[in-house]
Amino acid sequence: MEGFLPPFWAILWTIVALPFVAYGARRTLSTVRMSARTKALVAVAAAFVFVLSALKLPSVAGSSSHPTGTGVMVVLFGPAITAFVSVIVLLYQTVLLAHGGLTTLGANVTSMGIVGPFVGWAAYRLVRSQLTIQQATFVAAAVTDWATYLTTSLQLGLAFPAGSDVGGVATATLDFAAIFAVTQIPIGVLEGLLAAAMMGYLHRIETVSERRLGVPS
Amino acid sequence: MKRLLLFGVAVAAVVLLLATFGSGYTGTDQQAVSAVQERAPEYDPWASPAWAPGATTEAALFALQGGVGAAVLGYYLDRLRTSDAPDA
Repeated sequence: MEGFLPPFWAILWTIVALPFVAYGARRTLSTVRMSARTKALVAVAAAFVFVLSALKLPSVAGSSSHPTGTGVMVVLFGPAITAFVSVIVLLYQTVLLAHGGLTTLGANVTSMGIVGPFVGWAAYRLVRSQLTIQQATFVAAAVTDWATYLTTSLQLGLAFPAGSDVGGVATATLDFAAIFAVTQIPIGVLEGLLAAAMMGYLHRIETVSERRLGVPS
Repeated sequence: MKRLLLFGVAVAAVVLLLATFGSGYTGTDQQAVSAVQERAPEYDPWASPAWAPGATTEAALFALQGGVGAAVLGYYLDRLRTSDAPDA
């Protein structure tokens, strides 16, 4: 997608993402320094993002896409640290794989690292008290994935509206969302299942207690 | 150490397998680019990647990403499982 976001939007989304990433970097450092255990958990959640975003999954209707992999990170540490880790993953894919792009990095960090994780985290907080840790993680990861791609749709809709008013933006956003939805709905479900399995495993090895998992730090 | 290496290689193999199996599938990013071009035919992308890998290199780099990620994941899961430190 390199160059496919007009300069205005490329700059705007970079400015939007910067403070979150800076705050996330500080939070990541302080969390890693807190204890050997939190450091290992950050590493596990970050590695999970790396593994899942490497997968190119064929989906329905002859299309393929990548999971975001941010679900475990969102559940364990909340959106801030996820923003910082997303930058690292997206940079790797941009520089080495020509996936994404430097001009779209700000927009991609905003969707994959900030808005998606924040919506997923809110969903997690909402359902956590009614569900088991695995069920709540499934919800968080699936919602994070879908919210990420809805944000991308909105970003594309804003840059390439169908008309000059709000309705034009909405129409274009829905058009782009329709493209992603077919592919991303099943991938979000799969991503939810994998994240839930990961959290279930972490829970089984008693890394973190039920009680602590509800606390986003 | 050997187990971690095996785990990494196994995940890398899965990534490669999916890439091979999925080669006939169109990426959603490509679909989005097509939609942009359809919607704004006069739009001229103002930047392009300085370097883009071929299909094989791309699959290999994705496999590397998945494999190294899996090995790191396994390493730290081992640390968590064997550590008796109190919950932080």
